[in-house]
Amino acid sequence: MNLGISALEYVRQVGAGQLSAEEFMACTLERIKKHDELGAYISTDESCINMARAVDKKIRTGQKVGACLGMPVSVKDNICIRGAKTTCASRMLQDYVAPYDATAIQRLRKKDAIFVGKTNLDEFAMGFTTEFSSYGPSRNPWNQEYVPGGSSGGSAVAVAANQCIVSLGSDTGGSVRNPASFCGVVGFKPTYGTVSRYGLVSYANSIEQIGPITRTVGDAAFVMNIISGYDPHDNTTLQNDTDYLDGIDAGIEGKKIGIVREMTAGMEEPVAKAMSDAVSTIEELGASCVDMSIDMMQYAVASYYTITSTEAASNLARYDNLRYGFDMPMDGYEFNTYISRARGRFGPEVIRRMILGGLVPSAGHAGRYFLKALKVKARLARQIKRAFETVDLLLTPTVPVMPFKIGSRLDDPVSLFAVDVNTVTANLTGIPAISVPFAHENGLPIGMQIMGRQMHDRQVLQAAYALEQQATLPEMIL
Amino acid sequence: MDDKEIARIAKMMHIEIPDDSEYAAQIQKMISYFDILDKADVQDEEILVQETSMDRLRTDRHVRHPDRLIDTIHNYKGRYVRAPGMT
Repeated sequence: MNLGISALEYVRQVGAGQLSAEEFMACTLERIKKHDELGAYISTDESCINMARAVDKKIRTGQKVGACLGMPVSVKDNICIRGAKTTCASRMLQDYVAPYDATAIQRLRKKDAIFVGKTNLDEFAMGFTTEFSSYGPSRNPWNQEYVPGGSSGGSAVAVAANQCIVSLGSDTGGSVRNPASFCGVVGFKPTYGTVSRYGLVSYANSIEQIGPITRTVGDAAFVMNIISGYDPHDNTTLQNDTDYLDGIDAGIEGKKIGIVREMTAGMEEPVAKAMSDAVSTIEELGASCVDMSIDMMQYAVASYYTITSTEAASNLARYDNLRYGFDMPMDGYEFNTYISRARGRFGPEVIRRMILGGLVPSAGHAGRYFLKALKVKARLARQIKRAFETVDLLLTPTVPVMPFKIGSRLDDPVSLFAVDVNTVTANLTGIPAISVPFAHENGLPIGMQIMGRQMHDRQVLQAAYALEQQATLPEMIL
Repeated sequence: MDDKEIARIAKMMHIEIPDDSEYAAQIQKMISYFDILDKADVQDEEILVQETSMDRLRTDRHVRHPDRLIDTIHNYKGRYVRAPGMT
């Protein structure tokens, strides 16, 4: 059975009775077990086979079936599914079972999507490589010695390795787009407020978004049609009834695309070559590319880390091991000592960011770091808005470097900052951005990022679709 | 930023880090990276604030959960979460 079909193709085949949801699910579960070494999943749900059988029955008996028709969907393990463990890849939450569904999950469930399992991530989504998971790293299916990117690495691996059809990830600074780029799949970060964050374990509330990781741009649009929209449980969500699939093949003829100097500096050679090819391709498709500068981008990464560390430290303060946590006896402990000891379960990246998050907004340091970072964020948002007065879209490589070997950069957190340098801007300014697979080098994929104006997610998807049609990646052999 | 300051912040955040750990050096390095913000000329910039109007807030009402959520906690007595004593 071909497990590598797109979501739209799956829906077409199952709907036409050419494919059984149960058989597809059984093969998917088998595939997950067979390639367990990839470390894509933290947990799986064997009962999903019964759910798929029920979908087949509904189709056979002519009952109403949701648009997903039993499609196997994986979910990053920081998004709550009722009754399922939601560990955030942390030993701190190893026993936590979510008592409710995230809104995105509820909406997919209503459309008969089936959640096949929870995927691996950097602990609490803090990282870029999925090496900071307490369940061990995920591995890039194109070459298992290499990182798959992160923090939604497990989701990108699962989609790339045909261990599900689509996955939900979360993107705080590139965590959907960067693993999508490293694994040769599509990753979409919608406009802030488009998808409800209710049920997403909080890391940096002011900039994070749930987004789909899929095989095709069309699939990302399909998933967006289901998960987006206003949610009374998240007052940052926006009223929005966009049909993201409508006109997806509209093309980019006549569009003006900005190439930002600050986002093309420091590219590794294969990435620079791919970028140059992407520019040529876009021009061949009838769009024009213009060189431009957005000077605040040079401060974007420092601003991003300052803001996210501050919000993370505040959010993670709830982990006192009294209301959420693991079984640790409290006899013999004083209150504060107990909490400090329990927090020893956090991994190194989380501890680093909590300390940073305690420091940068504190008295004596706030003016130099946190308040300055907020001002950079505000200026960057103004500069981006101004840029979109002259261009329709921005094009950059998603990640300026090629995937690197597992463990090769673990000791130097600052060197890992380079991975997110092109992606954090979309989060800081709330604009939509997508990574689409475009080229490959030495058997490893390279993704291109397209960004657009706030609430112009549809135009971003249309441009990505146009670029996707021109890209050819070799078949991945597992 | 010296090791003492980092240890003070860690204590304030209720995080135990061993004295001989590499955390201090790594955090120093990250903080040094943030020093690039000194060069950003944004003194006059106004910080953006996300405003939510009152009519967009959900109704403040108690919604009963179908399960007894306190049962999911490791240590509780009756309706109360148990915690170690404070000194």
